[in-house]
Amino acid sequence: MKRVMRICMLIMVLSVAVVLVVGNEPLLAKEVVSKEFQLALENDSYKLYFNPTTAEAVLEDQKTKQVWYTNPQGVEDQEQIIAFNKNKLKSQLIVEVVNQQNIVETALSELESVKKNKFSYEIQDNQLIVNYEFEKHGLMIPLTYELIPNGVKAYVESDGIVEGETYRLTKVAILPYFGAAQQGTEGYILLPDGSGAIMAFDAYKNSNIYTSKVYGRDLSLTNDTAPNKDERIMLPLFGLKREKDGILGIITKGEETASIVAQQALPNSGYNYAYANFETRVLNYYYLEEKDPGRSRKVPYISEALKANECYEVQYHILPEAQSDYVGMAKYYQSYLVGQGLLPAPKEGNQKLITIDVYGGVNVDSVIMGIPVVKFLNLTTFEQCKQILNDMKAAGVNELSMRYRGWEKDGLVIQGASQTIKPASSLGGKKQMDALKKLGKENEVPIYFETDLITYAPRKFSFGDLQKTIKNVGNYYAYQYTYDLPTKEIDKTIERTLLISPKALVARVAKVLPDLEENIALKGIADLVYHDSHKQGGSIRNTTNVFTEQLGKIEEGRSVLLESPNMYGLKYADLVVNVPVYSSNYMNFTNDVPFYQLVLQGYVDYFTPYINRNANPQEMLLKAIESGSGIHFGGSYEDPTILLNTPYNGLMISKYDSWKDLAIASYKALENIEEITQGSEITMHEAIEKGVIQVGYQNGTKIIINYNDDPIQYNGSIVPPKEYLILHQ
Amino acid sequence: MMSTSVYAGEPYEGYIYQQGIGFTKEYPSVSNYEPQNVMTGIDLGINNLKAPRDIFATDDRLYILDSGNGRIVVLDKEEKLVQVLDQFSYKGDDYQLNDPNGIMVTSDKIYVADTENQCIVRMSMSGEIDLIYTKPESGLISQDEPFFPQKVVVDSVGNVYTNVKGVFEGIVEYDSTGEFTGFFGGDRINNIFEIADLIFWKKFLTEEQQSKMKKVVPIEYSNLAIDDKNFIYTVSQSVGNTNAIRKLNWKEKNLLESMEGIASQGYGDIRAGADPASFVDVCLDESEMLYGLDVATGRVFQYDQQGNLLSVFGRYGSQMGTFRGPVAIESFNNKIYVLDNQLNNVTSFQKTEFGQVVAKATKLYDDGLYEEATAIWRSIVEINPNFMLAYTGVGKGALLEGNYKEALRCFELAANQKEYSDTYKIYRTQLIKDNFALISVASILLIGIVFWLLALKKRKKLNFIHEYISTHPKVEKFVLPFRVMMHPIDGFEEIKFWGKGSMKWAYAIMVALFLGFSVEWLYTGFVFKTNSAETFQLIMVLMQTIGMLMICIISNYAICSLLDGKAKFKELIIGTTYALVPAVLGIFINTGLSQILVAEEAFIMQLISTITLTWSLILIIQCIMILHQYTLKKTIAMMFLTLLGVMSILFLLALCFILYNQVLTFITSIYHEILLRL
Repeated sequence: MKRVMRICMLIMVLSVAVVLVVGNEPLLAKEVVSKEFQLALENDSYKLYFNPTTAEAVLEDQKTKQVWYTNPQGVEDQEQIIAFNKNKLKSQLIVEVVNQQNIVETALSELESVKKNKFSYEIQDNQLIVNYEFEKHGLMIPLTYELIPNGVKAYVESDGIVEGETYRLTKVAILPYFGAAQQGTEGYILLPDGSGAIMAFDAYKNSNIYTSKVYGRDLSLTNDTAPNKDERIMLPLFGLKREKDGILGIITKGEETASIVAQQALPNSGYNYAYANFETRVLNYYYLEEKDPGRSRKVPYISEALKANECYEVQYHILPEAQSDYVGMAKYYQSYLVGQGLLPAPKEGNQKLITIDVYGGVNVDSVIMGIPVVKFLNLTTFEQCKQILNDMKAAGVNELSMRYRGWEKDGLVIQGASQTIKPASSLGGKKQMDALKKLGKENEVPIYFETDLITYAPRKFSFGDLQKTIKNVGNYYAYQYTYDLPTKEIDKTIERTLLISPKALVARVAKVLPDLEENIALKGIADLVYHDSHKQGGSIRNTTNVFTEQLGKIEEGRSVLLESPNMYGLKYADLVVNVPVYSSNYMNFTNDVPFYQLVLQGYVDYFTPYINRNANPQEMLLKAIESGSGIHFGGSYEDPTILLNTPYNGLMISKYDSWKDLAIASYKALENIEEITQGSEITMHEAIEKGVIQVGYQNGTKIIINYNDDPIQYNGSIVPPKEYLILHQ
Repeated sequence: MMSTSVYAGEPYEGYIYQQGIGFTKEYPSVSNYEPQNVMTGIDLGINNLKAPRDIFATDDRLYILDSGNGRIVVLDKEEKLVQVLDQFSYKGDDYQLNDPNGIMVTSDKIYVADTENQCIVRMSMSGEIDLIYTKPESGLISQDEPFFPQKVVVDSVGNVYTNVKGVFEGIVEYDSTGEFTGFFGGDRINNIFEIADLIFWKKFLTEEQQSKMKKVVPIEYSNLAIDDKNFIYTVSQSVGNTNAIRKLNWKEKNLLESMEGIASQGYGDIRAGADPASFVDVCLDESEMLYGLDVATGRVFQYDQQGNLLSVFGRYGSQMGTFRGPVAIESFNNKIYVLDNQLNNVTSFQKTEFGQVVAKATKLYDDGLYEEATAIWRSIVEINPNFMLAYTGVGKGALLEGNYKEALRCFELAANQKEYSDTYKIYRTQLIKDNFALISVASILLIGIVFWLLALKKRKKLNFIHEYISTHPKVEKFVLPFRVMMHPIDGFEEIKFWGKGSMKWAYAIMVALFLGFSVEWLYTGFVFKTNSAETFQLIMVLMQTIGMLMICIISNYAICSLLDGKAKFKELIIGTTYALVPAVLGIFINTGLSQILVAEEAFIMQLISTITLTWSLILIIQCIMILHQYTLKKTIAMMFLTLLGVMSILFLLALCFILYNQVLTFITSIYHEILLRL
């Protein structure tokens, strides 16, 4: 015994000596992995220790000896934190189950498993597997840790989950408090909501928890009332910036079913955190509105079987200090995507600075002498589109691309699931269209013809159209509705549409592939997700897999324009439009950042939503400058007031004449910036004060953007309200 | 399908209403306001607000009545904390606010409706209370019930107005010394029937019952606001949309009601099927635009001075710019502030670039500067083609420029029949002037021809036509409907006894009737339109015309054949349709005239329709009399019976329809059930 003690003492003395000699940074008490932790995994740069009594793990950087705990330490001593939150903070898994009455319960690994000593662990093949048994709910969930070159990954495989008879598992959150930051820490949470948003630590406005589905809501789950107007999460990740540290949590498997959850430190919870919450069953909530304003009762509708063959995986990447802020996170994520082959080859040549959307026409129901007919309303003919192109060229708008919407014979909404692709004859037919394409080629203006392969309107009495669509959990056809603005209920006056099932999409693409345009704008395929509850259907993952595959097929030999695509679609995009410049703006968000744009930068040309028809055209231009985006205009050549009393009045198209000058002026502004920055990348982005953003380019150029209504002073220069200032260096 | 959610930073969809021809419809719109900031107590550097109830803005200060904490929080224009007023004294003693509900600040005094203390207190800017307005000791207010003042406003001479919970007689009014002076803005009995009703009940009811009845005349204002001209604005909850917002002058007359505008009376979501509004607060901005806060939907409705809806913003939710418990709204420093007493925060909204343009255009328009406003209205529809109100402005501008066609197009888009009619009148005069030579030559020619024909007739030179007709039976059969018009007795006798009626003509007239209704629906001139072409329903018109006609004929035939009627079914069809010729012609003539007449000349069309309808009615009476061989008395009796018959047929049809619908629902639910089990 004494010998052992002596050896221990010796080791300790030696290690202290080694640290004193080798380590140039002073050893802080909290950075040392305490003795209760045992070494479990090790790779070239990291070590993972595991605590067999608390089931907590800690990641240690071999070089800097910096540590990141799966659960915050010393929670027990903080009196202001309530008991339930303490148990939550000590959990590695937070799961949601429903009982047979569909009542949702939350179970914590700490409370049900660790405290009752109902967990086991094993280390094999460089994996640490911790098996949690939730006794009360009859559940067994194995959580596996593995080290990766830049951090650690943790995952749960659905096939390893064992369920009891009474409870069904609906959600599982993996390592919810990895890297959670204690109240008082400097830093922020990065959320990929819309363009991207920052939640500064501790700066909460209310106790709401941020929860949002990756890739947006599952469209199979039809809502009776209008869903909230918010922005989509397009990239499956979240970031934590703590003091000098940066952690990037990347959801690498099962992201289609994940939600990102985040909250700032409240007095009774004490920590800022963000995590991924995975849905293990298809879960539909029906909201039963109650008379009280703003209140509704949630009734869950849940599929029987657990999703099979799924894996829910989060990778925690520890960022180098220089890349620990959100710009760095974007660059890091960009290189991660490049490494995974998920981004296209870097852009060569000039960046396109403006995209102009041209609306061809729409089909509307009309009455001629009492007889209902379908009428094609011309908005812009091919000939008129040529005119627009020529105008722009004449005005010196060179880095131009165009998107032509509603040029097919059905207009904007395709009738039937197997419609062939043909130009509308009243727009000028194939001949005029070819002439337009020729003009585009001559002027090096790519004209992307939009085709919708996903959404279609069911024709009357066509059973085939229904066969090719998807069904929701309740085994109903998942109709897509337009919602009434005042009541938020389904607007029955506007034709409902259907979404094509993945299976039918494969067939459709195979059929129309030769007819697809060389420059093609695709609608839907990369910006929405759904599952199919048909017996032969599949999960969202199946759908996104099919989408990815089909995108690959279409992209071959073609140039593709997409609308702010989800992560899986990025690889196939040459041009991306409607990239949101805002986040959903939840009250607890501190400010918006152009995260998505920074990830795309240098690989894909990206454009803002429409500047015309926006409530704040000038602000939109500033946003484009802030995020390095191209600008985007859209409208028709003809007077669009013909749409006023049609279902298409929601498009709010405006006449080309009315925004032509604005488009040219905005283009000139961007061209000027482009000349100064010489196409280099944005490497710095920060908010100097409220409403004032500073953007730095690689070549040293700085742009100060003032969103406020008052002029501001910056280094002796004045930036006028709603204007920007370019500083050369 | 029609995504509108891609282009804005606001968490709500903007929309406005358009009261078109025969419908009220909402149009997606660009937002006039966007959320700018959310302030909590912590952001201001004090502890959090607790169930705040009211905010009030002076020129340079914003006062938040933080009721749960019994304090008043004062902010400046930069939204920075200036002062927290939490120490109050009355005659040297400490005074505690007890769940106060309303606040009003004048240049030197703060008035607080201290609800649970059952009084209104007037204090200096530093919290020394110098006057307490208590429950009036007056017979007009029930002395048994507690007195809970809700909101308070003060006019420029120091009169204090407060709405009191449970007091329905109106707003309680005090003078500047704290004396109760009466009620203001109560619902007056202004209808002869109501007075008669009261007199009637007075005879039967005891005094106690009568006093109870009085209380049932309920108008409970939920909030008050006052402008610098001492107009008092009120909002009431749970009264629906009509007159939910009022602007009362000192005579207690609602000025908004008498205004001529598109949405002069309905406020909130006025479309059928939408929840009725429940306004809790109203405020005015610098340019006297009105903002109503509706708790039924969590929306703010912005109106111009005429009560035209300009924008809708806000909703329930958790994004910035949404609410959970909105209670008060105030305009301050060109922004709109909404107080939320569940999230305990204040949200500020600023005008979007579009909103600024709209505000500017509205101001110019309200000041009558149409010419200056035109360019701005044009830029508005360029951004937002759905902004219907702007088309009236654009139209007026075009009118001033003399571009009548454009003006007419714009007024038609704006569904503004009055302006359209006025413009059309000018345009028509212009047209006549421009083509005066042509028109005068044409009319002289026309008059000449008429006189020539009359002269010919006088000299019996036209008799050859009659001869030709009477010698050619086919031609005679062909012109019979017109003969019936002029000589009904002869005509119907020819149908009855000589079998000269033609089924082909009968069918043709029926089709003409149907076409007439359709044409009237679709092609009536815009000035006289009551139905929009979009709402045209073929089946509906078919049922209204041919369907109804057949039901009438069947009913008449069925009843009369039981009661000595001599007419055959075929004769009845022919007779009735022939009798309808004047009415059908009238419809066509009127539709044609509606294209060239203006609103003031509507009487011409009314005259024509009265004449043709009476004519047809007389013909129908003749028809029934002659075809059935009835006396006039019996004919009229039979016509009433026929009407009864029609009603019973319609009733049976309705029954069948309901039954059919139920069967249909049954089948669809079985279908869904099977789908679910598959």
